[in-house]
Amino acid sequence: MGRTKKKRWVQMAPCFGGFNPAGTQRQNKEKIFITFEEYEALNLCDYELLTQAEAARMMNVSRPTFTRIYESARRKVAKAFVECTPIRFDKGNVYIIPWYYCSRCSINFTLPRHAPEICPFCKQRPVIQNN
Amino acid sequence: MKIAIAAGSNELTSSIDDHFGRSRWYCIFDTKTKKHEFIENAFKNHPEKAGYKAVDMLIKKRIKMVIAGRFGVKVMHAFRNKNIQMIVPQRKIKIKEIINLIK
Repeated sequence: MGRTKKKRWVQMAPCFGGFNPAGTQRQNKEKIFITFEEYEALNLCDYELLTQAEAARMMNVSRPTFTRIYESARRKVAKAFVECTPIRFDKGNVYIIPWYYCSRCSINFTLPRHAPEICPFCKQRPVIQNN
Repeated sequence: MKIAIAAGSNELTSSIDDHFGRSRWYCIFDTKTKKHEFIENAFKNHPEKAGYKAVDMLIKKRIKMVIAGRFGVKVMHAFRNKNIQMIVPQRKIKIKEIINLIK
């Protein structure tokens, strides 16, 4: 049996489910599933323009592991583009750093350590953990 | 408690800025004294790591909560390590309204 995989840290999960190709008729195409760790790898490297070493530290994995995740993310995106398949996000082996949502104030927020789970604006419960 | 709000301009009627690190102004509001002040973000045109510098500046001012439309990952990481609360409103909201909500 292989060693269990280390949890990859994700700073913030995407707030939508995925993508559909525009202007195609065929609906029942096979979907490509991009995991949150792959989404985060693309985000860190190509959107936030971090180096792979920095990004690896941010995700709490080694640099070679990061490169592997990033490679897989790029291949999946390319495959979806070329073969015109829908993309869906999928929870992979990740630890998502918690963000909370208050529907009354419609805000996303983090909580400081050991703080009660209340909304900072209306001071009320409940708040939803939105991962 | 001191709160920093990323602001588009130095008026209370302006809405919050979309990006923390590159925002033009920060509005600092003190919940004890109920006073606010605007400070200009001197690092907004820095080629890189503008966010880190802004974080350092705000930490020196003993901020406990920050509000902006979006945080970059590096900034998120830094704030989390310093145990500072981050808030991202999901709708257009003016600085005045935020201050009223917090008061």
